[in-house]
This record gives sequence, C-alpha cells and structure tokens, in this order.
Amino acid sequence: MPRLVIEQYDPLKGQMLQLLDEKGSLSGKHQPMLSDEEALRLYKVMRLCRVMDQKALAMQRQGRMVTYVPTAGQEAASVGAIAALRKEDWVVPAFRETPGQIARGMKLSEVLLWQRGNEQGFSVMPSYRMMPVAVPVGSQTLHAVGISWAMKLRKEPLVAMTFFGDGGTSEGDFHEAMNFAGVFQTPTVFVCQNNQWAISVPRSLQSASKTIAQKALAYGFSGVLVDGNDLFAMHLAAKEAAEKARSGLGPTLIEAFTYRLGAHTTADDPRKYRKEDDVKAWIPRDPLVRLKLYLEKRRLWSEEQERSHHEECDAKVEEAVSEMERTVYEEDAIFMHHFAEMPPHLQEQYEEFRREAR
Amino acid sequence: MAVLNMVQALNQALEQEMARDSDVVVLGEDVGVDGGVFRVTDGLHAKFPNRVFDTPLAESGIVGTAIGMAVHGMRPVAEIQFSGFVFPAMNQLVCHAARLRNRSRGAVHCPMVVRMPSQGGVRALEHHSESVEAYFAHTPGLKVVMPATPYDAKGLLTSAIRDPDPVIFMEPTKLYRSVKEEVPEEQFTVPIGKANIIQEGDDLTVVTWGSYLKEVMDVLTKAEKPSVELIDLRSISPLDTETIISSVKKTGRCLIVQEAPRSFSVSSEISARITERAFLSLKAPVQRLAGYDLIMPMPQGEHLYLVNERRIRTAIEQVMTY
Amino acid sequence: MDFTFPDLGEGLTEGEIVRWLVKPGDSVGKDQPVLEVETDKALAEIPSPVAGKIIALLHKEGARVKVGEVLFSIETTEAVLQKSEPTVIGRVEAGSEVLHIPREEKAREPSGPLATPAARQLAKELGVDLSSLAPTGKHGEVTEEDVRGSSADRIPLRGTRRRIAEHLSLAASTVAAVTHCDRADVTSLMALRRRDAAAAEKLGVRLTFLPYVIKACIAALQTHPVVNSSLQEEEIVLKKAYHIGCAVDTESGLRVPVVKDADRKSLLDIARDLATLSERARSRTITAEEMRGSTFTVTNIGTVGGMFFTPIINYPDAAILGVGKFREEPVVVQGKVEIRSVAYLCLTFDHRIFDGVEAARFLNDVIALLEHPERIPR
Repeated sequence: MPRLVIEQYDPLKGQMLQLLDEKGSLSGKHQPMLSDEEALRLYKVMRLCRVMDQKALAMQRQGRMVTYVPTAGQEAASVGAIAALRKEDWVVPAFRETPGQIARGMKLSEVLLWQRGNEQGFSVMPSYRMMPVAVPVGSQTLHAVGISWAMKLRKEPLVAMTFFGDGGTSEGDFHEAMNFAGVFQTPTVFVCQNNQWAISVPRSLQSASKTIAQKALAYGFSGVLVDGNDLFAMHLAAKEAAEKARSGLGPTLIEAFTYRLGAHTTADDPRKYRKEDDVKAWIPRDPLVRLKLYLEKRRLWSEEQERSHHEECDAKVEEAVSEMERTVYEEDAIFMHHFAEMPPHLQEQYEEFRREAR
Repeated sequence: MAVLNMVQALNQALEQEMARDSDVVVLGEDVGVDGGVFRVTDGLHAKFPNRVFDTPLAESGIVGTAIGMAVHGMRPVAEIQFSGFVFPAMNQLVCHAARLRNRSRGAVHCPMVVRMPSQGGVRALEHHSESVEAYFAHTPGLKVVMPATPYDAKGLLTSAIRDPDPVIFMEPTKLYRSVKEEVPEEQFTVPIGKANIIQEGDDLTVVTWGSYLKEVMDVLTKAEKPSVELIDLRSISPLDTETIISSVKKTGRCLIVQEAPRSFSVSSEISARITERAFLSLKAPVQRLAGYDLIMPMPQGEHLYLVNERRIRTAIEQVMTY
Repeated sequence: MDFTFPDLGEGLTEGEIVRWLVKPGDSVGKDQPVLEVETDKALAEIPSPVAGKIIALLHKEGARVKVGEVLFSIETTEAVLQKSEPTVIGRVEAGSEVLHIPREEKAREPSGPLATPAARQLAKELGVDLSSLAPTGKHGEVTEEDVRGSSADRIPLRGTRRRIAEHLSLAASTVAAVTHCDRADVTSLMALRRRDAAAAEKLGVRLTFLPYVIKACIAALQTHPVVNSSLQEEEIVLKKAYHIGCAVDTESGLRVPVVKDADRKSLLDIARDLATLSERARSRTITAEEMRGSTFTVTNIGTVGGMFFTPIINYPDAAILGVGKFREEPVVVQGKVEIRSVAYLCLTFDHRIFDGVEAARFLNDVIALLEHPERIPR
C-alpha cells in the first residue's frame, strides 16, 4: 500500500494536513477525494447548521429551545469525517457533531429533539448507525473501541468512528480506549474536535502535549494533525483512516484543529473568559468562507444562490423547530425500556403511576 | 451426576455457553492464559483462543469496550478481578450499560455480564472483600445476581449470559471451593429474579444470600427449634418479593442475614417490602443481622465484623422472643 | 491430611514409586523425605510438608501414580495451607462437603390470622387467642376492637337479657316513677296461709303468699280504678280487666307472666296459674302472649332478701307492687312491743297518671286486707 497521506504529516513536528486554504484554493499537493457534487451537498448541510446556530439563541430567549449546542466554526470537522464513512459503519458521537449527523442523513428536527429533552432524539440515532449522543465526557470512546473490536472479531469490513473534544482527551476513559485500541488493533477512527475550548478552559490548560495528535504514538499507532476547517482535508484524512482500519491495519487518531466560534451551549457566555480578538482571528479561517470561495471559483455557486439558500435554510429551521415542538413526549415511555421484559416491581409501580395520573 | 465446586460449575457454564454461542467472548485481567486468578476461566483460552482476551489493567476500559461489543451484537462476559475494584467502571456501568436501552428507547441494548469475586471471609487485603451489591441494585437498568451454590452458579451464569440486559454477577469468593454439589452435566438455567427455599418451616423466615448461606445452613441443621424457612435470594435485583412475602405471611417473623453493611442496604429494601405487604402477619419487627456500618476490616480484624454461629443464634432468639 | 503427588513441573503427569522411606506409625519431621519417585526426567525425593505421624501408604513400591493422586496420609496438628489450587490473594479454602439442596417448587400457603402488631400486643396482654376471633378489619384483619370485645370479663348483651334491658329502658325513660313504701303486719296472713296450704296440698296445689297479695291488690284496684290504668297518648285508659303480672325469676332473667282475669279466679286458681306459668317461664316454653297484657304487676323478691326496693313499672302499667321478705320485727301493738311478722311493701307508680295521695290510699287498702286476711276475697 502506498504511503498514506496521513502518514506524511508528523504531529511531533507540528505538521498539519491542509488541502484547501483560506482563500478557497487547493494547494495541489493532494487531490480531494470528494466530488464537486458531494462538496456542494455538504456545503449546504454546513450552511443549514450555521443558520440553525444563528437562530438558536433568539429561539432560546423566546423559550422555544431548552438548550442548544452551537457548532459554528466547526462544521467541516464532523461533516468531512462522517462523509468519509460507509453507511454500515458506526458513528459514536460526543454531543457537538450536529453537522455530521445531518450529513449522515438525520433530519434537523430529529437532531434537535434530545436538545429539547426528549429521549426520542436518542432513539432515532441508531437507525442511522449512530450511537446516542454521549453526555459523560470521553466515556463513549470505549464504546467505539468495543464496537470496532466486535466488527473485527466478526470479520466485518467495517469501522467505528468516535468523536470527542480537546477536553475529552483528559478523561481516563480516553486513555483506556486508545490503549485498548492499540493493544487489540481495533478498526477505530478517533476524531478529536479540538475547538480550543472546554467551556471556559483553554486548550493550553487541557494538556501540556504540543498536539493532541501525537498522543497516539504513546499507544502504538499514528495520529495526524488536520486543519479541521478544511472539508477536503478532514474528508481525506478520515477516508484514509477508515480504509486503513478496514484493511486490518488498526486505529488512527485524527486531530481536527478548529475553533468554537460560539458558546459552549446557549447557557454559556464566552465573553467572560475569552477575548474578542481571539475569536476575530479565526473568522477568516471559517470553513464556510473558504468552501464558498472554492465553489464560486468552480462556478458551482453564486451570491444569488447563497441568498435564496439562506432563505430556504431559514424556513427549514423554522419548520424543524416547529416539528420538534409538535413532538409529543411519550410519558409512559419513562417506565419502558429498562429491561427486555418489565420486571414485576416496576410493573407495579407503573400501574401505580397510571392510577395516580387519573 | 458430577459433584462440582462453584469454580468448576462456573467454568463449565462458560465453556458450554461459549461452545453453543459463538458471540460469547470473555475479557478481563488475567482471564486468558492464566485462567483467571481464581481459575474460573481456566482452559477457555485454550479452547477458544480468539474469544478470550487478556486486557490491559483498566476496569473502565474492560466494561466500556464490553458495552461497545454488546451494542454490536456480541455477548461479552467481562471479569472485574475483585468487586472492590469495580469502582473505576461505575461510570460505564451506571451511566451507560444501565441506560443505553432506555436512553435509545430500545434501539440499542447491552447483553453483557460483568463477573466479580465478591464478599469477604477469605482474609484478604483491603478492597478484596467488598459487598457491593447495593450500589448496583439501586441502579435501574441493571440486574444483580449472587449464587451461593455450585448448581445455582452454573444455572445463573447461563441465564445471565443469555439475558438481553446487563447482569452484574457476584461470586462469593469464600464459597468458590468450600462446598460441592451435584451439578447436571448438560446445560440448564436458573431463572433470574427467583429465590430458592432451601428448607421449609413455620416459625421463622430467614433470608440470606451469597457468602452467609452456608453459615446459616450450618446453624440451622444443628437446631430443630424454631422451625425455620430458609430462603436463598440468588437474585438481588429483581428481588423475588413474592417468595419472601408468602413465607413471612406464613411464619410472621423474619430475620435477614447479610454481610454488607446494614444501612441503606438490600436488607433495608427487603424490610420495607415486608412492612408494606405483610404488616398484618408480623409478630415481631423484621430483624437484620447485617454488617456494621464500617469499612471492611483487614484480615486481622475481619472476624470481628463477620457473623458467626453465636450471633446468628442470638438473632434468631431475639426475633422469636419479641 | 492426605498428601498428593505434586506437579513437579515441566509437563510431567505421572511417575513410578521406587521406594518408600517410611512406614505407617513412623514420626516424620517437616521436609523429611518420605518416598522416591522416578519420572521420565529424574529420580526425585518427595519430602513431607509437615511434621507428624505417618498413617498409611496408599501405593506399593513399583506402582505408577499420576499427578494429583494421594500418595500417603499423615496425622499432623499443624495448620496447612492447601496448595492444590492456586489463588492469588486471600485464603480460599477448598472443602469437601457436598451440599444437598432441594429445588422443587413448593406450595405457598399463608396461615394465621391477620392483625396489626398493636392488636397482637393487645391480644397477648388480654390473653386472647387471635385465631378464635372473627376479623372485622378493612383488610380482613382482627382489629383491636375485636380483641377487646372478646376479653373474658365481657358478656355481649343478647337474647332475653337484651329484651329485658330494652323494656326496662323504655319504662325508666317514659314513666315518672315514684315509689311509695309501707309496712304490713302479716302475722295473721301467715297463719291463714298455713291453714289454707294444707288443704290446697291435698288438691295438688302449692299455695304461696302471692295469690293473697294478688287478691288484695285486685280489691284495692277495684276501689282505686286509676291504679289499674295506662297512659296512652293523651288519654288515661282505665282498664276493666284485671290481668296481674307476676315477676318470676328464671335462669335467663326476670320474666313476668300474666295471670289473666285474676278477679274471676279463686285463690286456688291463681295459685294453680302461678305454678304453671312459673314452670313454663323457667323452662322457657312460655309464650309472648302469656307475658303480655298486664294491667298491674306484683313482684316478689322476698325469698332472697332485702327491705325496700324500687321496682320498675312493667310498662305500660300504671303501678307495680313489690313485696319484700316476710321477717320478724318488734312492732308496737297497743302500746306494747311485740314480735310480729312484717313485710315491706313498695309501690312504684306513674306520677303522670295519679298522685302520691292516691298511691298511699291504694296501698293502705292493700295493707288493710293483708293485715286482716280473712277479708281477702277468696
């Protein structure tokens, strides 16, 4: 097998993989593995999420949203990575992979459900071969290792991709997951969305390691530092990592170097802990900006289309939120699904619950 | 019929179930080549070299990856080397194994078993003698099982492996080799959630589980009076409330013998259920002979904590003469 | 303890016993060689792990033995750690006891009465057997009230007693009762009765004082009709008939059979009636009809004792005469004290119907007849 692109970038030397620069030009060093049609489709997905982000805060203030996890500035990281997977592969997300979930085929209304506080938002995810969103930070990485380990034992040509943030890499489970993956050479793709912040704690306080990507070396496999705002680079890295895993060559760690332009969640106010200048410096590096420039250069997109698409997105977001609001919470379901068969003591309590409800 | 001790019975259950179902895998520290520090998984690695894994020393890792395997359709049997070391894995057990079915409304679930040598009476160091069943019994979404005999060990482990939900399988270390029993060669199951009445009686219901079963049985064989109905829980959660209540309605008195510390424990729950459902049959308050609320002493002090024949007799007398 | 052929390592599974170095009964020290074994690899000396006395050697020289087989047994008082099964921590001891645990389904049957702990305690204190009581609780339990109700010194009000209680309650609450008492000299009456009783006996009739009292009352009632009446609604009904109730003491309580039309009956007839009615009352064969319809009642507790009493009216009569025990008392007769037989008479009357004066006059008339019994109509 020819040397993979991801092997050509040494994290210890701080080398970062990038295909598309901030001005929307391909460096030419490596060819994107995404077709133009796919790139356009994914751009639209990212735009939809950006519009969602912008409307979310207002909606939350109107009481229409309970909580919302913004993804502005990071869209390319999850979209690029997930787009590289097969439908049968498994995704084990953290909780900030909304754009990637939409790219995978989920509806925006479905994505919003768990953020509204309805377990139905979790229950729909496995039908897209995605594990429910994981709240305990870092714990999901072990599940991805377990799933991919099972894939390997069953000799399936599949991989499991897991996401976590820079904060997640500090959790013990991350270490154990990387360790197991290295020892058992599981077909796992670890994707770290390093958006430089874990709520108010900056990346520099999370680890003394110069890069996150280099941590893979400690576990006996390779890690690659990727420009997380470059859709093509993310896609290429993920594709190679997935194929490498599929051919039995084990796990890879991808560090998507990106920035959280918005708040941690709608309950957070970043102005308390970070400077405006900091944020401003990242605006030119916005994934949407460079991709738009690229598409315009290829005459696949125009300002006109941008405007009308924005309106479309607006409407779609409104509709998605309305649909989400219309979703009735299944009250009885709180008793269901603890075991395959409801045990007698719970059955009694459920009957008590039903009686009191009247 | 073969006469086996608990280790042999467990080993047989694992071997037979692995032979029957290729999705069953075993993982944990020292479970492969070494056959487990108590030899429960002895010989499995040789028979199923691709399905028995010696893992890094990482309890959360063992349980977390097992969860992933289970989600993807395998049936992992993970071993935690001692119940006192399960705590690094609590997050995975409580936040994920117990919850995935409910969180996903049934879209995914975790058919997995987490086995662990439990309880004391073996003069072992700190953390090797813990009774931790209450932590798990209190967690919705987990099943908790504790066999006290070789027959039940084989039957319950088989049931646990076949169960579609996570089962915490606690093995009383003290009973691993101390008694034997006739165990059928063929595969069989003991239902989870069903207690066993070891002996019938009319005057007093004694409820116990795990390490103390043998101890209590020994005391009872020596005394004809009172006429005791002895119940071995076998499953902590779900609890076989019906068997306990029927018995107490018959006898009117109950003594619970438990190794774990008494407060906020399994015996507390049993006592509450008896008050709720058999109040009008009670001739005495439910008596608990349980551990003191203290840290399990080290080997030199262990005997001060554990019950003995004298304490069991005294407790019986107290509840009978109330 | 039994000493088994140990795993000598290097994959060896059996060996041949070359030579025993001891015999049964020998004392051996710890680590003292006991036998020589030849394996595929070498000739090995096997030492005893403990000090003690050899009990038995289980194989002959030349025998082939497998790893794990018992070679010899040794009596020792040393505590021995069983090293046959490896363990990493703690003392997980191997035992050989075999459990026999029944596993059939057992029939479940509750037994014993249901009761709260409080009720049980009460029953225990009162010495009541819970299972003998009918439970009246909401959940089918024996309640504390059930327990108290059954305590030994409580008798439920039932049957005759209950009827008597109800009847007397009614009388006591309706009538404005006043009791007027006086004393009668019955010396002559006693003499007369003695004479008459002999003759009556020949006729098979037992003659007591009661017929004389009844007859005397009737005569007085004829003079004082208002005493033979009943207050009904707003009317005083003067009765034309003379049905005299006579209180009879029975096992099941006081009963008042009625001698109907006593004015038309002779002393003997009345005596006969009384005997019959009393007998029927005592044997509980008396009918309600035989106890209904009195216009006046006489009650006698003379046989038992007492001086004055305040009989309760046999409602709806207007009055009741109680006759006390005949006794000897010193009486002043024409300035001198003599011992005479006397009886205290207590007339309870309904003051709503007539007043004390009438009552006194009535009783005076009765006493006059009793003191001059030859004037009593026979």
